[in-house]
Amino acid sequence: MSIETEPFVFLDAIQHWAQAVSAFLVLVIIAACGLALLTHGKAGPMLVLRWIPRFFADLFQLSPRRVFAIAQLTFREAVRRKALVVFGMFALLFMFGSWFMDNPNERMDLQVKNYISFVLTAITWLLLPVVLLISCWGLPEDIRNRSLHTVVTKPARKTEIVIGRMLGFGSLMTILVVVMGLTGYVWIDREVAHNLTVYSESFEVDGEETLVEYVDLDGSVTVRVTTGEDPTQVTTAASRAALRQDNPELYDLAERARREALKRHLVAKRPVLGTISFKGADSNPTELGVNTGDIWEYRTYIAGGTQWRAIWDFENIDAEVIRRGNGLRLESSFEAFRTHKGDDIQQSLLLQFSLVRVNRNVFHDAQGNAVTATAVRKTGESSYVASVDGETVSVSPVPVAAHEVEVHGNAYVLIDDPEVAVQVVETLKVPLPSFNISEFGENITLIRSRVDFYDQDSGERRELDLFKDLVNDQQELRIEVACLDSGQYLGMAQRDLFVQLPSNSFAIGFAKAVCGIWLMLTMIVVLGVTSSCFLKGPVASLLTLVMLLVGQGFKSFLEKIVEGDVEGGGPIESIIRIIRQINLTDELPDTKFYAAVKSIDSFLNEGLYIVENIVPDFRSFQMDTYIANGFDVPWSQAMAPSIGIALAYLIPCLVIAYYSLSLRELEHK
Amino acid sequence: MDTNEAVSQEIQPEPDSSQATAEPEVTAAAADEPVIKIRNLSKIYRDFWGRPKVQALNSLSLDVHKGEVFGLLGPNGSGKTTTMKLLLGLLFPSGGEISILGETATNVEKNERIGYLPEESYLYKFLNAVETLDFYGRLFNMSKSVRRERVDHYIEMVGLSNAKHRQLKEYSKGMTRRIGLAQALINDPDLVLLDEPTTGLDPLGTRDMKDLILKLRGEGKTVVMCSHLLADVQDVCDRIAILYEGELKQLGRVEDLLTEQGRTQLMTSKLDDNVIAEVKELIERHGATVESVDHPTSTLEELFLRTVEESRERPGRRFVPEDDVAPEPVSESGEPE
Repeated sequence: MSIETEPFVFLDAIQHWAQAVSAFLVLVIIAACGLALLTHGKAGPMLVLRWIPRFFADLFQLSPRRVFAIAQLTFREAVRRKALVVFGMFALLFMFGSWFMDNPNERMDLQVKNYISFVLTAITWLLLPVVLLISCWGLPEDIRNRSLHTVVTKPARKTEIVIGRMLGFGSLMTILVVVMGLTGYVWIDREVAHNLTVYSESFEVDGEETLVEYVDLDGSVTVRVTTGEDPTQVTTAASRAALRQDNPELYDLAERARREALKRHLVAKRPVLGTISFKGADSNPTELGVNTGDIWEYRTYIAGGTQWRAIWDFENIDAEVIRRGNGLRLESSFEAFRTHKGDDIQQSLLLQFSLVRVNRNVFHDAQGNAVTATAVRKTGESSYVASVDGETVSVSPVPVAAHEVEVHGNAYVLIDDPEVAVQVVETLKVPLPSFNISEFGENITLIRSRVDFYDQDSGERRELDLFKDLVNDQQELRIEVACLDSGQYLGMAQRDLFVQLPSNSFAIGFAKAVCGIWLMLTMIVVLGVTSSCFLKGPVASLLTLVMLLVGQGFKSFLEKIVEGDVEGGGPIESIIRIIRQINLTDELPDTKFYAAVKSIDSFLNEGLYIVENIVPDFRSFQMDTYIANGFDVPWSQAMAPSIGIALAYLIPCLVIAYYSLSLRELEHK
Repeated sequence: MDTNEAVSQEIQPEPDSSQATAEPEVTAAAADEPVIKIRNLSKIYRDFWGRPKVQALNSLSLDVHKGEVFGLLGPNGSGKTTTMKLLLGLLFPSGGEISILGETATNVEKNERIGYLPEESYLYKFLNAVETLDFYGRLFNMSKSVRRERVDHYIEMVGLSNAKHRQLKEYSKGMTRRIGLAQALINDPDLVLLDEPTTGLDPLGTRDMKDLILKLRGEGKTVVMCSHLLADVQDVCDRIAILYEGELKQLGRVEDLLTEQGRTQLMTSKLDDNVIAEVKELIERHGATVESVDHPTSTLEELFLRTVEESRERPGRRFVPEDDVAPEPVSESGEPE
């Protein structure tokens, strides 16, 4: 079973990258030839073309000794320029941070979230300016001081200088990230342990289920222990130290409970996400639920006490996971929208899960062509006919996977070909016991591998095997969610219900998030060193900063503009709309002037398209949200794209840096 | 062809007979392919918009042969350093061609056999002497043992053993020049380019530098230096080129350029006035005129070096020139007492 809903396909990524980089390099070469033609006359383009093979020659003659010499020099330079002062800032933050962050009245999970966010944000924002400045200023300073002259007049190749610089800054940054990450981890662990003053955990002691409740408030410690059928034992002490001295056994029990509680709070959950769809009041499939007026529309709602259902389809459910976890562990959190309040306001809503075995098929005729499933009739045990172009033809079912299907209108269709309807048949439906939801927290539901089921058709109780009877042949399971409270609504979104795999350790999840920061800073180093090969320090810093800001904060906006999703048109049109006070939604008059404006805007849009594709997507490196919310950082949705982006930019940046250094006169006045 | 080009063409180096008589080993080498071959080299500095700003070098043509010490002379802004930087590939020529050790100036391979001492010390000031030489040694892909050996050798050679663990930012100008020289020689180069090698050095350092240049020549290496300290150039250079405003004005062997064929100079041991009068008379009898008769002077450099040497040998004594030393008392037998 995989936690990845959409696997990251490296091969496709590499193919896409190769196309983009080739196109970019061709454009750069054409631009360079044009420039050389202007500056050097007819011989100019030949000069540029003659330099092309040199890069590859230099690349194949790289000397690791020279590269490491330059890397070591860069490292020393940065250290002697007091780059490590940032450690002092970091230490200061952590020495006094807890003064302002500890809040005993806050829920522990929210406190943990604050601590993790604080640590990761501090590492990011302390290192970002340092790394940006040292990587952007290193080479220009070397050129200004002419120190680089003593290097380029030795047999050091330009590729070696660039790679050495990147490695040097990268290794310094790595040390900073690792030390800060470790310090941060220890700090979080200690802070959470320190603030964990109230907890209750149950675990097995000598074969008996034991509940340990611990309260450390107002200068006294109270421990309650409930074991099996025995009455609850309550022990009070002045402090933990006193408890340890007076009752070491109880203290050990309390410490064990503390460790369990810590594990529960500092966790990296591994969710398996499904796809969500709905069934409406008429039991027909529908893409979205009811809109209760929430403008953000993150969640849509199902009406309680009606036929409205939210449906999650999970894939890749294998027997091993069910066996290891002794069933499936579901975690859910829903938001209620109440239409009547009064005394009910305090009552949580009643919810019911149903496990459904479904088969999804499309139908093919004898020639293998897909036939729309709405025209299909069953004529026998496994024989079907369909009416195609007025003729009745024999068709055969072909199973399709859940991720290939979506709801379109009131029917299931193939995502790749919405004309082809998909037949979805529920062959078995097992309602689970209803339960009251915890509205602002998480609901954990454990579905055992053996499920008791009252079969209404036969009127008998049956025991089903979760994997054999409810998971279909494609290893898919459908979970249907119903709200049982009439007049109330429950909001659902894809991530509100997921199957929880055994959690990863918090340390691994935290390390992945720190790795995300490291990858982002690596990108900064690569971009900074590259831009510093053709720009002076301040301008290189500015360029790198702009790329960071656009790639981090404005990338979504840029994408919307490029895709034409932003109302108000392009830059010229929007200026005209502002000046002439034309509403965003109003159509512009159909005149030649506005046609020209739109043409200019579409041309500018092409430029923005290039910018959008050149600027790295820094959002991919943000992994702190996962771990701060208690989730592991997924490989395909976070780690793999981040590594892919960092690698993808490395080679083109190296090429640009090489030619920038090679084709510029270092001594130019 | 413009005037400047014509001038440079006229003074193309030609293997003349005087060269052959002066130093046969240089002549033999001159027959080989030149170590540096410059043809019609021009350099125009341009502004951001590509408009010409300064013509730093105009149609320069010259050859430097293996085993010679070649000096580039000229006032500030004459194009000496620009030539040097064009040779090193730090600047790109606006016109003309450069061949250095048989390669183009931008070819990295050539740097394996070149040592370069920049005009000022552009070394990394946060490194100490050992780290500096080790770093440059690594750029030449030297193994650790070779690096260690050469680092010790060159630090010893330039006299920085006592300061080898101090950061370069703490060095005096002279010390910085010395470590700069050591880095230029770390790869045992065939061609050494020295930009103002004696600037910032005290007379002792200057003498050491000049001795070293001569030693390099003795080892068959080619040295190209540019300087405006003419005495230093005269002391060590076999051939010189004089540049003015980017144009080549003089090129040739130092002796040839400085020798005045129309005048004769005699130098003898000290003569009394009668002998001088007789010599004068003899000269005038042969139709020549005596322009001046006096005692030759030493150079200030020689005086300084003698003083320092004397002081080193006899600490605490004031230096007395040899001529002023009173004759030692002589006994009747003629033996010194």
